[in-house]
Amino acid sequence: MTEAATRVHADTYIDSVQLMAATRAMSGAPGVEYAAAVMATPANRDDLAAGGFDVPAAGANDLVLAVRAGSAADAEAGLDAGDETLASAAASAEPGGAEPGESPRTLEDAVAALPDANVAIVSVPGPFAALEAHKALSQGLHVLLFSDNVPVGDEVALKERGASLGLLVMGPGAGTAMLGGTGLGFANAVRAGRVGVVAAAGTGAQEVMCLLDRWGEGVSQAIGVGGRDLSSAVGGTMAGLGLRALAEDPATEAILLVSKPPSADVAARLLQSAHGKPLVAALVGLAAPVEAAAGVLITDTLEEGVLLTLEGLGATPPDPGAGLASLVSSALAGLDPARRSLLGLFSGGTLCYESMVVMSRYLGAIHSNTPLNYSWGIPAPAGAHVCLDLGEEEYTRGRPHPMIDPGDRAERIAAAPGDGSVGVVLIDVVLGYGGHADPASVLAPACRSVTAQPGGPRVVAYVLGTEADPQVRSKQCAALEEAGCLLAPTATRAALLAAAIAARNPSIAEDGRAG
Amino acid sequence: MVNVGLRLFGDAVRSQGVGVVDVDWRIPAGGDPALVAALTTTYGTHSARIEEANAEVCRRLDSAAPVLSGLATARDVVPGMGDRTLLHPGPPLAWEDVCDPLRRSAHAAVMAEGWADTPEAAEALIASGDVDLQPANEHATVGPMATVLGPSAPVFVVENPQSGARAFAGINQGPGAAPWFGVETPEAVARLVLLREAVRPVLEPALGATIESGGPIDIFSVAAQGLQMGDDAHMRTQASTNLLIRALLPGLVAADGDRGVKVARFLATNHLLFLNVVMAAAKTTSDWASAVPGSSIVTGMARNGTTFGIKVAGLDRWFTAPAPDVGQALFHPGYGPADAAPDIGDSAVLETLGLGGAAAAASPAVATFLGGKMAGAVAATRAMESICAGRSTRFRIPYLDFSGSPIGIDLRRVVTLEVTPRITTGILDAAGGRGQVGAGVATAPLAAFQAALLGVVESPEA
Repeated sequence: MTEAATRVHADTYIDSVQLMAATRAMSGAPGVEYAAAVMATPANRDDLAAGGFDVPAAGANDLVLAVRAGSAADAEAGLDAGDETLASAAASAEPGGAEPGESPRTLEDAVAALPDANVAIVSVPGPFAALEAHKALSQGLHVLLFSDNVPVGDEVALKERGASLGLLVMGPGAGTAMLGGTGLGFANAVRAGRVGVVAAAGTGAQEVMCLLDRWGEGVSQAIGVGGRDLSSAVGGTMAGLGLRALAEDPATEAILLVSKPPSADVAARLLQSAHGKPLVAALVGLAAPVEAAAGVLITDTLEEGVLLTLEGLGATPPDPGAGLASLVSSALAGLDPARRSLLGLFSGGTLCYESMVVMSRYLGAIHSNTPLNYSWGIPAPAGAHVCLDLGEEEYTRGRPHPMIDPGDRAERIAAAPGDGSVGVVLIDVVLGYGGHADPASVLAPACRSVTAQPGGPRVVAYVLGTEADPQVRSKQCAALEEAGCLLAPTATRAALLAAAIAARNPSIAEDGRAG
Repeated sequence: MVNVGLRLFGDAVRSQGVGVVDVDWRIPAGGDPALVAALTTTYGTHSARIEEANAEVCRRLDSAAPVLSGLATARDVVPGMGDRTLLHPGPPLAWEDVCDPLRRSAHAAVMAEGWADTPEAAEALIASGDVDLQPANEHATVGPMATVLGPSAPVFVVENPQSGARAFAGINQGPGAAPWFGVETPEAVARLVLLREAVRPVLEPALGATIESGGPIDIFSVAAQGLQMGDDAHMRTQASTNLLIRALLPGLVAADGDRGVKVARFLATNHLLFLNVVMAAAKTTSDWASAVPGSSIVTGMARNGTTFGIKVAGLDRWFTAPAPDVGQALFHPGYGPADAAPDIGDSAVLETLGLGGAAAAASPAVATFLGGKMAGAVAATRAMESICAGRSTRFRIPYLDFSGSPIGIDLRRVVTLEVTPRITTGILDAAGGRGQVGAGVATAPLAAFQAALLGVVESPEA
């Protein structure tokens, strides 16, 4: 028999990050089989009832902790664990922050308190995101819509309205932007420069911005438009507005468009004009050629997109593949011959996608929760290559995003050698505002436990970030290198390194600019 | 930057040296999908038109300057007032649904009109359908508590120079055994006769003389002065009443002999004389604002003791919910919650334009009903601010550094925050006909505002 118990905190709204923290604390308590910390909205109440909980009377801004455990005592202890987490979060939030009662209760009131505001970040739960985004547009603000689970119809309505008002709607699910030198969402501290970025891919945008910074250039503006923007349904409304805005932006001398597989018709429409400035489109995973106007360069990797952009500006970028073959050769020495498969554990969706596109050219089938084709899903057959996008909803339900909390990924890394077929583990480490303060401190020990095993898997790591990021890229790299990881100079190159190890073919790591 | 949602995004931007305001966000409208959709429409694609309409509604609510222009007989001036019409407060309702205090007040009005001699006979007459029971609001008239007006009743005439329209209200019936408190005794009936036969003949020339010498009386100017003197201009109108009587004083002194003394004595005991006058001024103002189409501003709130109704600018219909009980009540000795009738009267029109609960922080007297401290009165004003679209430029609150009181209740804000107007009001005996048994604070029912928001979205204007 199990015991189901609930506890209600009236008029206690907390955000999803705190809800996840409480859920995790309760789930981790002894004897707890299931736990949930939710706001008592009608939908959440229905879910709890369906889960067998006796749902007490509560309103949408009441907090409900629910636990099912082996005994009543365990259930109570689980609820206590949730309360403790919430109490410590509340205590740590107080110093320096405004008193909750002093903060405006509505977006309109916030604008009244900060009349020169020109952008809003909206990250409320999906069912309420369109409302807040519309309010922001009504107040004349650009919107970075971080929330996901926003219906495509709402996205279309928001973007059409934003376009008619000349306001950007970046999202939904937009992770990053940089406007007027300020990074929004998950953003890296990059130098000001001549390249304007329009991206329908969150970590893809972060990667190209960091590469531009690392290779001596910088970024004028970065406009994330959300992963669906270039789909047929949305029609590239915001990418179009973003490209026009960059064309008119005096600080922008070249434009780089980044997208996961775009709808071919939309991509073609956006690329009919070069907008009067050098335009490179990095269309990751592009299968069929796209028609483009003269002066528009199209490529299919993030690395190549940045290289072409720099060349267009007259710069001579470095060769990112130089010297990597000998690095692979050293790494292959002593590797258990039975270990031939690849395990990619990603926090960035675009990075996972690009890696699979690049590596499957050498390795064939790569199984994934976000597979390149339907037959490559998971669970994967024994010995198969696998890449997991751990930022996807099925892995983040009830726990923070892996960029915020690397703990779950560290456990997966440490467990990798247990599968005797795994020869190389590939990870991305995404730095920047909003991310974990020191991800290497969590990930490096796990990597060390892998690389320390004689003949065990090699670990390829790519650190996406800049020296100016709060986490400092060189420090993160040093910690991972110290742990025995092979560090790649770009995300694209990390995939090639990993493929070279899995295929036992060092030259892959230096494969040329053709991608 | 404005941050709505996860705190970490605000902190990340703040750490780059950019100004950030975090919204203390809560789930809007209780998470109800239909209401969230209505909010998305009214704050989204329809927002520009609604904001424009709301600005005009607020401009009218703030800038109207209605004047007291005279006294008249209801039959002669009230539009649609027939020989057998009785006007009642609140939204329309059937006689069988009328609550006990309002029923008794109607009996008293029938007896004062001379249509029946006893409450029983009056009851039979009304029940027979021989009396045309009409909501006062739909005849440009308002009445506090359970006020019922017959054709012979004297009414204040209030003119709105901006709209050219007029509104009407009876003379306040005064304290004690009076029909507006749900009393139907011979003494109460006599009060109505006194108003008609004595007060009106004295007050009318006094008012006429005052207007002749000083021009029409700007009612909201008196109310604004009253707020500086501790009135909220709803529950407490003592200061404004004194200001009004001071204006009338020369004319009253000139009134005839014994009757003048009698009337002066009545006026001296009635510190709510100004209430009816300012209500009529609010009514003609809200009628003017109601003519603006496509708004989300509430321009009328009224209760009949059975239902609570609101009107929205541009929509000529009532949105109703059951009348609430009056909370935070202080009862007269010997009475308690079991004796309390639900909330009643047209006086809540005052709350739509910055008086009453909106101006609670102006009134120490009202604070005694809101926890006994000024903090409670300030909280009531702040709560109204949270759901209002504008601020009065005329009604200023000394205790809040002379900031303007909130005007223009926005349905969208009410539904989002689930905060409704609170109305300071008297409490009537629920069933015994013993008059006022206490006073307290009524909280307007959210359901009426939710229905109205859906009505705004469905209306052809939207």
